Formats: sequence, C-alpha cells, structure tokens
Amino acid sequence: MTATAWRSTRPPPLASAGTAWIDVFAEHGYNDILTLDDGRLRDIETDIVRGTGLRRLDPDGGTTLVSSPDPRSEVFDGCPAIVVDAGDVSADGRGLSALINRWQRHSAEVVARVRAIDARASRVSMTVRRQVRQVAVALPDGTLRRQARRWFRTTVTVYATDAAPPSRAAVGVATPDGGEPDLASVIAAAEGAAHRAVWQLHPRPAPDRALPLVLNGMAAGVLIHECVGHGMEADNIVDRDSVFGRSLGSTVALTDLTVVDDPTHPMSWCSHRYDDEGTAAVPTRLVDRGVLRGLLHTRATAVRFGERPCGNALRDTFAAPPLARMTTTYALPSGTDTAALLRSVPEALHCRHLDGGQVDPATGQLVFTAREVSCLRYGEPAYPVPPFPVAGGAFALLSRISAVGDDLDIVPGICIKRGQAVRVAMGAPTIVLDARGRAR
Amino acid sequence: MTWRHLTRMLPPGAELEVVVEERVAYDVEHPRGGRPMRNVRRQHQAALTVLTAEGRGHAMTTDLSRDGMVSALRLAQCAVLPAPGHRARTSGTQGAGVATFADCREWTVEDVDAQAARLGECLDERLGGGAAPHWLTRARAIRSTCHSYASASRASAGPATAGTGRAGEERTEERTQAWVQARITGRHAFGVSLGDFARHPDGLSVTAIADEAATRIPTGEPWHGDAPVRHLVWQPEATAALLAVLGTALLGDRYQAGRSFLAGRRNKLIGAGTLSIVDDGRLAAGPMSRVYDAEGVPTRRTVLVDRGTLVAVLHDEASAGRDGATSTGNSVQEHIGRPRLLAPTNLLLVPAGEAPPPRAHLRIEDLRDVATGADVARGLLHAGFTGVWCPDGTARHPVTGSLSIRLDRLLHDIEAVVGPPRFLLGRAGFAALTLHTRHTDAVRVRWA
Repeated sequence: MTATAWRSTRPPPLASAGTAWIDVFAEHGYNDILTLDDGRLRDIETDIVRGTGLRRLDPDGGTTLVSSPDPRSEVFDGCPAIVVDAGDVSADGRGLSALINRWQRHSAEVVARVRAIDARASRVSMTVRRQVRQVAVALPDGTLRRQARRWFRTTVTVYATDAAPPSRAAVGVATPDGGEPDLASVIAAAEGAAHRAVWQLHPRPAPDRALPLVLNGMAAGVLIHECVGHGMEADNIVDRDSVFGRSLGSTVALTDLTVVDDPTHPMSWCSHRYDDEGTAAVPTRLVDRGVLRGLLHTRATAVRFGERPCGNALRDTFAAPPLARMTTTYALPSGTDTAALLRSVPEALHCRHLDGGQVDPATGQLVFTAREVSCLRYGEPAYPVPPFPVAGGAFALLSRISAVGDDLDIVPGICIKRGQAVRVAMGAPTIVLDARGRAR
Repeated sequence: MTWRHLTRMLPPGAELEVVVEERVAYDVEHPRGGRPMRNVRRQHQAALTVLTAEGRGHAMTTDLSRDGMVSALRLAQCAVLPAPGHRARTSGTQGAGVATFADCREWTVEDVDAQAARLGECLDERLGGGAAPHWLTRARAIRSTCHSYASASRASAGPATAGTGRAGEERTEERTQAWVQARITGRHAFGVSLGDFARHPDGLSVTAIADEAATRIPTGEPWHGDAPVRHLVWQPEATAALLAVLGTALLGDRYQAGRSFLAGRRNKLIGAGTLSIVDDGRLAAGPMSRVYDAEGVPTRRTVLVDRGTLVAVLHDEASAGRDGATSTGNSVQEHIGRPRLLAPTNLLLVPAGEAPPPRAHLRIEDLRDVATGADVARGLLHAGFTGVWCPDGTARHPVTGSLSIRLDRLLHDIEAVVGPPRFLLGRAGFAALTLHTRHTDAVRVRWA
C-alpha cells in the first residue's frame, strides 16, 4: 500500500548553509464520516490523505511553505531531500463496512430512546466522524518525531416540532483515547439534547429590562475560547495591530477568572505530546487571576517574543502552515458553589449554547448568538426565550463577569482559523455576566 | 494505471466515474512592517464514484498510485447508498473535450508575491506612515485542471448514465483564479476590507484598491448614534455578506421544505423595483464559473429576482426532480476535496437606480458572524458590524456595533445598487456592489 519513495526510515539533516530553519511535516491517514437521519444512513464520506509540507525561513525573514501529495513533486525542486516516512495506515483494514453497520444499529437505538422521551422530538440527525493519522515531523537537526493520532467524534442533533416553529439542540461526544464512544454515553447525551429541544418549543419574549446572563459550562467555554483564547494566539498579535497585544499584563476580569490552555489534558480528545512543529507540549496560563498573561506560540512567534514555544503549533493538513492554536482551553473553577450562586439571583437569562463569536483580533469586536436560553428565577428555569445576539468588545464582555462557579464542564469542538479546522476542547464553570449593556 | 483498468475491477452492471483534480495554489500575506508568509500548494486528489443498481458510493484519495486508487475504489463500493437521479459528471449537452475559464499565461509565486507587496506599497503612499492604520495584504492565485472520466454504459446500467449518450467520454476543464485583498484596521476598532478578482495576477487592479482605501478611512472620533440615521450605504464587503444569506434563501431545497423566508412567494413581489438577482455560472469574470456543475449539468445564467419579483430558485438534480423542473446547474463543489452542495455559483445583484447625491448616511463596511447569526427560515439576521458615520457624505466617524435585520423588509428599502460587481477573497461567488437603502425598522442598530 505504500509508495517506495516513502520508505526511507530517517531523513538526512535538512538545514543547509544560510538557512535559519527548515522542517518537514508528513502525514498519512484517512477520514470516514457517516451522516444518519432518523437511523437511516444518508451520506458517507471517505477519503485517504497523504502528503508532505516543507517549510523554510526566507532571507527576508518571511516564511515559505511548499507542499504536495507527491514527495517527488517539482515544487520541492531546489529544496533539500524531503523524503520522510510518516508511517503506514492501512486503508483496507479499517473496517468501513463494520463501522457503517455498527453505527446504523446505534443510531436506531438512539432514535428510539429519544422518541420515547417525547413524541415532539421528531427528528434525530447524527454525524459520526473517524480520523486516523500517522504524522512525522523532521527538524533541522535530524530529529524525527512520529506520532499516531486518532479521533472519533459523534454529534447528535435533535429537532423538536409541534404547531410551533421547530427548535433544536445539539451535543458532541468524544473520548480521550480517540476510540468509539460507548452507546450508553451517546444515548445519555441525545436524551439531554431531546429534553432541551422540546423545552425550547414555545419561547416567550424575554423581560424588557436588562438582566444578568448566566452561561453554563458549554456556553462559557465558547465565551472564553473566543474572548480570551484567540486573542492570546501569538500569531494574531505579532506583525499585527491587536488590542490583546496592547493589553498584555492588564487586568481584564475579576480575580476569580483564571484561564488555562493545556495541550496535555489527560481527559481531552485533542491532547498531544508534541505539536505539528515537533515541540513538546506544556500548559499555558492565559489569564491569571484576571490578568492577561501567557501567549500561545509557534516556534516563529516564540522567537519574536523571546519566549519558549509551548506546543501549540497545529495545522489542518500537510498543505497548511502551522498556526498558533488553542487545544484544551478552560477557566478554572472558583470556590463559589454554583447552585448557591444561581439561587441567589432573583431573575436572569440562562444560556446553554453560544454560536459565532469570531473575534477580530485587531479590534476585539465579536458577536455571539445566544441559543437554548431560558429565563431563570432563583436558579429555577421559568420559561424558554428566543435566541438573541450578545455583542461587544472582548474585554467589555470579560469585564461583565461578576461570578464564576465551581462546576467545570469541558466539551469537544472544532475551531476554524484562517480556513484551517483543528480539534479543540473548551470549557468553564458556570459564569454570570452582569446586566450592563446587554444586547437583546 | 489508467481509469479504464479500474473499470475492469467493477462487478457486473456497475459504473465508475473518476474525477482527478490537480491544483497549484499560491497564497501570500504581507503584514504592514512585518514578515511575509508564502504558501505554495501543489494538490491532487481523485474522487471515485461507483454507480450500481443499489445506488452510488463515493470515495476520495490523494494517493494516485495504483494501490491508492484501488483502495479508494473498494471504499467507494463499501459506501454505496441509494441516490436516485444521479448522472455521471461528463454527461451533458456539450460533450467531451477541453473547457476553460482560464488565462493560459503562466505565473510564479514571485508574481503573486509582487502584487501583495505592491498593494502594500500603494497603501503606504496613499495612507502615509507613522500613525497610519495597520494593514495586511493578501494575494492568492490558483490554477486547477479537472480531468473527468465516466465508464462506458453497460447493458445493465442503472439510471446513472442511461440516456445521456455521453458515457465513456473524458473531459478536461481548466480554471484560473487570482485575488488580492487589503484588510485595513484603524483607531477605535475600525476595520475595512477591499479587494479584486481576475483570471491572472497581472489583471488585479492594485492601485485602484489603494486609491479607494484612501477614501474609506474615517478621521474623526467614534460615533454612537447621536443623530437620526435615515440612509444606509452597504459597502461591497457587507453587500457580499448579505447576498450570501439571500443566496441560501434562494436554494430550491430550502424553498421546497419551507426553510426559506421566501418560500411560497414565487411570482410575487419580494422587494423594491431596484432589486434584481442573477446567478451566472458562466460569468467570464466570476470566480465560481464552470462549464459543467458537479453533477455534469451545463451551467447557465438564471434570473432569480426580476425587478422585485421572485421568478425562480436554484436547483440541482435532486431538488429539480422534486419540483418537476430541470437543474439550473447549481450543484457546486469548490474543489473535489469539498462536498457537492446545492449552492449559488456567481450570485449578482444587478446594478439599478442612480447613486444618491452626497448626504448624511451610515456606511456599513463589514458584517461579522453572518453565518451563525442568520435565521434564513424567518428572514432574520444578527451580525456585528464596522462602519462609518458620514454626516455630509464623506467618511468621518468610526462606528461599531451590531445589526438585527429583517431581510424581507430590507429588500423593499433598496434605493439603488451601484457599481460594477467585484468578487472578494473569502466571499466565494457573491458579488460585491454598493447598496443604498432607506433606514427603516428593517434594520435595528445597536451602537457599541
């Protein structure tokens, strides 16, 4: 199954005279994506991925990346030898038929369990995504880092309908080792989504006055990811005009807020020992008791800032340049009991899901859409509320955090930056934003 | 290994369709005063589709070796699902051969790099140094060649190629695309994007972009809605974002399922007389132009909205089949590594009306988070925006905030659509023009 040109066991040193840095990233793997609607298989996407990317630091300080699925491509002409063995992934032995049969059965079971909860849960859509990669990173000193990576994620979306416009709720399930999640955990997640979709069926207008906004772990994780994480990716700061770059060392939130990015988190689906530049991964504290601190680096940005790279350089494929990316990013729990915190709030809007929020690093402006919202009275949900926008500057939103709970929840997700999609996890305890300037 | 060799591995009665796409893409970024980034991507990928009496199976591979292609063929056979109405890609009225939306002149990464660098130099000249705004210039150029092959019809062939009379043919389609873009950010969270598209990097109008940038940068202090806003001017980037949402509402499958705010309104007035929308899959200057769509149907020009009246929606073969209509050639696949979707090709607002004389207006430069803030079924859109308050028609005060838009009402508020269409990097085939609208309750502005 492997072309002969790929079988070299160890690359020669790649650095040549006058070249500050040159490295090679090679990968070989496959993706399988199943889409199931109400237990019926609607679509199968399957592919085999193989290729090599070579990155070189140019004399003008710029960077050039050349890549091809074929290591003998003419785009590598004039570059040092680039034959790197990424290892082999057997495409035939992956058992696609067995995967299809198994998840068709699982999907039928999930649909039955969801329908048993409420007949108004009228449609269940599932996406099953399996990705397997062998990757190799060759560094200028001849070091070769090989890693086997695999990810498996199931997403369940439940739609509820009756006489009202439809509502929906979605949930993702993934395991830390990249194996298939067990059926029981998928069913439990789907049942939760069904309850939420049905609850949202008949929303009532929110009270026409400013209310605090309570974000549960999943929504608060998105807020932290967008408002803090992207701003602290060093390649969004270096050579760019960035409000985050200008605010390093400033206090941006209350002292209860500490945010960490941990590429080695043992329970996360996106953990790694080495990043896509071959750097050993270490955790970084992005916000330390309310103060903007650490940046997420690639090797290049670490040099520019005079800091150590932290293992956050990731790439979508061999054809894409490594970017500074978040991995598992979460806010640490405080000592405040979440249940007691919510009981102390007479009236608030409670949001389980934030969409959007793509931050413009230059301006720090972003817009979320709050979904799965309910009006909360002394910690008890009173009635559902339609989606509404939450807009403003990242620091303005962070400054509205008035309390942080103790119920940390981390969920798997996909993050897209400059067209590159990578796996991330995000989370936080329940967070309360005060009512100032709430857009509704 | 030739494609015909793969065909021999098929079980009796099965058909094979193979598409191999080769691309060379150059991407360049030049931050102001920073270090450039250049990315040269040589890509090739094969998509194999197996058609049997049971349906269609699809697999892709970047491994074009014999083993890689055979593996992909086996995967495609594993993945067969019912797919009524699918036709082989090479079928159609124009037959085999070579089709092109390409400029045959060669270019190198240095040519692309030079355009991004030159745009930066022009911005330096127009906007000055020192405390001038920051900018990032980008250029992208792609040359792609798509080879398609469909196996010859067999006696027991299913609906896949029956009746087309074109199976067994090979076709090659070439395409070139080049963009240049400047993203300029200034004080008070102001940001603006300008750009151009051509078939060759030499055709990009770099100096015109820089000239225009000089007129777009506000010099005053931020404005927070201290005076009544009566007119809105949507700059090309914002118009393209709006058009992306409208394009979704014009898809046949959404229209049929009632998941579009335009559902049930065919042959009815949906907007002002200045509103005409056209999808043109063969626009000479359009980035999404192709001779055939992803299902092998010839692309074409489709008038969707004619002077305010909704006259048609976009179809692929599946949605057309449900409507008893014919496909409009809108099965779109950006490249073969991406899924086939019913989508607009080059979607254009047709220029109409006169640009109003200079007057006080709010200029919307850019919309953010449009995709997640859009509720196409209800015709609602929440989006962040960057803009400029122009009290006397010229750019003065930067503005940021968010917009809540009722699309059905906004379409009736259009006073004029101005400009030649311009296609921007990252906005696919959504043509950017300048839109002049009255400010009514169709748009609710929240100032930051």
